[in-house]
Amino acid sequence: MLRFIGRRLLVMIPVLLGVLIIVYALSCFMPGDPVINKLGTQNYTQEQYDAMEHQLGLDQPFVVRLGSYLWGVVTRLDLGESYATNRPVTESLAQRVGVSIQLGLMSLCLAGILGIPIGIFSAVRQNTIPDYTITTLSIILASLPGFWLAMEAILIFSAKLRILPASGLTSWKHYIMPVACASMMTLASLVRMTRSSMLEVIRQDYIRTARSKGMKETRVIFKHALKNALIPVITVLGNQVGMVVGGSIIIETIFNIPGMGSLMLSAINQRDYPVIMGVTLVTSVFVCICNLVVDIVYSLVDPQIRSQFVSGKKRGGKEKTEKEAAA
Amino acid sequence: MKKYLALLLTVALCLSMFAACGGSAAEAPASAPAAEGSAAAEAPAAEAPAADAQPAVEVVEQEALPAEEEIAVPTEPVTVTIGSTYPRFVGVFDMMQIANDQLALPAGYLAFDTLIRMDVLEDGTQDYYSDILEDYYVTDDEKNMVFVLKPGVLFSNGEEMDGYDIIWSLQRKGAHPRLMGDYQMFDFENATVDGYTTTIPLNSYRGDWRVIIEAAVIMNKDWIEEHGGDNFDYTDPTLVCGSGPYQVTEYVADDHVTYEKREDWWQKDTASAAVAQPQTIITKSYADASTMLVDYQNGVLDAIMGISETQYTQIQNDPALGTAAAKSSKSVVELILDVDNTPELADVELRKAIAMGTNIEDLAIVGYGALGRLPIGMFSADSQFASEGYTFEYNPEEAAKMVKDLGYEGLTLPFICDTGTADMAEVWKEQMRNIGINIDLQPYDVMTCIQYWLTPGATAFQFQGSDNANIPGDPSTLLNNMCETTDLACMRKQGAEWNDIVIRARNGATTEERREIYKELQQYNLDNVYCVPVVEWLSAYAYGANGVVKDMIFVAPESCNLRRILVG
Repeated sequence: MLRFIGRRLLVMIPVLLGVLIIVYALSCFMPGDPVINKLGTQNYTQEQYDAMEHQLGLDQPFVVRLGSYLWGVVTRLDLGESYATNRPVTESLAQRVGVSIQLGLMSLCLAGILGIPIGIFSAVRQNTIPDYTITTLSIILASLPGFWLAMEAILIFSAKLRILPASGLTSWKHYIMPVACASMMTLASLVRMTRSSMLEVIRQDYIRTARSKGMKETRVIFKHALKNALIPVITVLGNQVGMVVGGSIIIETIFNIPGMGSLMLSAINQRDYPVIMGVTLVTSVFVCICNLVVDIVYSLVDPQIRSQFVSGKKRGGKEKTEKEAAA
Repeated sequence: MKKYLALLLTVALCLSMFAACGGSAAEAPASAPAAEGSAAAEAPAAEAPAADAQPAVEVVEQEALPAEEEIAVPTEPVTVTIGSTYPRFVGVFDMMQIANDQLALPAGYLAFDTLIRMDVLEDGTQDYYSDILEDYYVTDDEKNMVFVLKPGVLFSNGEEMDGYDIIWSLQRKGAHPRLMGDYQMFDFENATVDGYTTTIPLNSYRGDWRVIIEAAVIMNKDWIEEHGGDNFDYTDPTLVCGSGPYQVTEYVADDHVTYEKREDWWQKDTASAAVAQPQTIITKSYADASTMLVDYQNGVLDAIMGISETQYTQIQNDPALGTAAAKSSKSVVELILDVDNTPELADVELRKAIAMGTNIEDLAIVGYGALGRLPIGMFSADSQFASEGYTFEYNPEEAAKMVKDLGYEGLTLPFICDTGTADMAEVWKEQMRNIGINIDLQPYDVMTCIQYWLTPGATAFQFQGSDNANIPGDPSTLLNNMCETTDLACMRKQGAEWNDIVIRARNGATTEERREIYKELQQYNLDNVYCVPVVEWLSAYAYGANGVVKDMIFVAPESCNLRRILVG
């Protein structure tokens, strides 16, 4: 297992480098000039432009800039300074990442706590009214745009009923709407994923065998079926956990929450390359780590996958011993 | 059967959800109500458009400050929370940032004092005003600028402001990349301080010097040098040390700032003192205007600034939501023609046809609705340099005939506009199609647009504000961008006469002289059609839904000057 984790950690390095190079290249070559953004379009001389370009390091060739950025990241964890505020990017990220993680994890927990049981319930009661209702509602929820959902929630619960605050994150009440809205899409996909996965599993022979042995239905579902049905669900959840760090641009903008999503949006608008890179890097790292964690969780859930982690040598040795014993 | 029941159930759920939303939507008023009598009366007489075709505009007349005896001083300390969608309404406390009009910061007016600022005087008129100076002038030989400080101007740490603070603050503001050009007029190296008098020699003289130093915030030089100098942390609220009436007590990045009234404020007898000010002011930033409106409706906010046109009309039509007011942004959106890089536009007759085929009434309504008004010329009607009668006559038939006679029928010209003006550009494209000119319209975000605008020949037209909330009303963005030194190729005008007139206006010593020269410039534009004034936009704000704020007195909301919030 340790070798597996080590190997996966090593694989992360080229993945992260690839992401950084692609995003750096895309942001550098998209139209827009950070120098003009700082200087304005009037009242400056070519010398002032050149000086600002030099100050921002934009007078260097692309490869040199990329190299020096990567060197700074790798050796000093230096993500550079924001063009807009002249403050270190790490400072801006540190101020915002907590809010996004908090919001994201809460919404994921909500989606998981509701989505998995509802999906199981729907699968167990296949082709009944509750199943049809859940399936239809989850399709509706999955297809509703996040911004619409958020705005309607504000309109109903803040403007009309006046029971929930519309903006900020200062009390538990403030979390209800953003968390609920952020979780809806994941909730819908979890319900559908759990349902279809459960349906596939409960038709397997070993489930039939378990039932024929007279095992209680709850035990069949939760002990035997659920474990195997959870594999695709864990994949969905794992990816979502990685993405929470990046924040939700729409939810954070509408509910006026200063998180990573809104930071990314303003950085793109201002062509603030260091901030764009910083948010991307942090998000990529978390996505990679979460993928690794997901793989480890697979092994805990599914013995077949766990067996793949055991080295061939050990497995071979074990097989040989068994054969010898049999002989 | 079960399937149908389930479907019925979900449809019923959806319908109930829509009904809930529709209820409040029905309560919302139409976004563009019919023009009111007062709005019609305010429309510029020069163009005499039909009253019912005009955007519904009701600009708040500037009120005089209330007399001291009229002020109902609140018995309890009042906290006022103000929301805004303005960029960086809650921002850093580095006052050099106030150099850029896009970055107007309330802190500049609440926690600090400006050298001079355009403000509402006690009699209701607008003029340059200073809390901290007894006198300021340029010497007769136009070689020195002199500032005479009032004695006893104290920073919040108890230190008295002196001339070195003024020099240091101006110098630092002049270091801002966007202001380097303007501030090169000062020779800071040879500035002198004699008691309360500070003299700064001038490298060159510019008639609009008051526009240049307007809203320059004076900071405490010694304090900043004691606390890090070049490494001073401008984001630390505990290090904010100004001479203004309020002190920063809390700063939550990108969310809100809390200002507490200074009990030991140095100033006792000024125009500002004649206003019952709140004990605490909280400025809160919003990315989304609709969320801000809900917070205002729910009493979380006492006033909101930078509201949309729909919200403005909604509040106007609902007395329970307090007062919605609109004031001039002092900016006129102009359609600029790239005369130098588009060969066809070198023909002045074609330019005249384009101006004649432009229906500014439709553009004003589409672009800004109730928050747009017809322009009277290139400059805002509220500008101190405004004069009427410098817009183009609309005559599409004549324009179409001219285009045909000139042989330009079917001509296609590129137009790269930013997404903020895309609706107006779409309508204008149709107007041009009606006179026989095709417009190849491509909207992009501003940063991408700038890249194109810098490239000669990339676009034949551009929508450009004459200035962005320039409080004194000087259309400096327009004039700077249309002069021969700008980098924006699509706006640059090589005509020597245009540049000469602008330079003369710049060097005009008095407001009256400059107004006359600007008349000449506008007449020159009428004859040569370099730009077409399209719409003057207004910025809207609202207050008083919960009765805390009685009035908000400022020249323009974008200034974010919150000194004169009247509570009672």
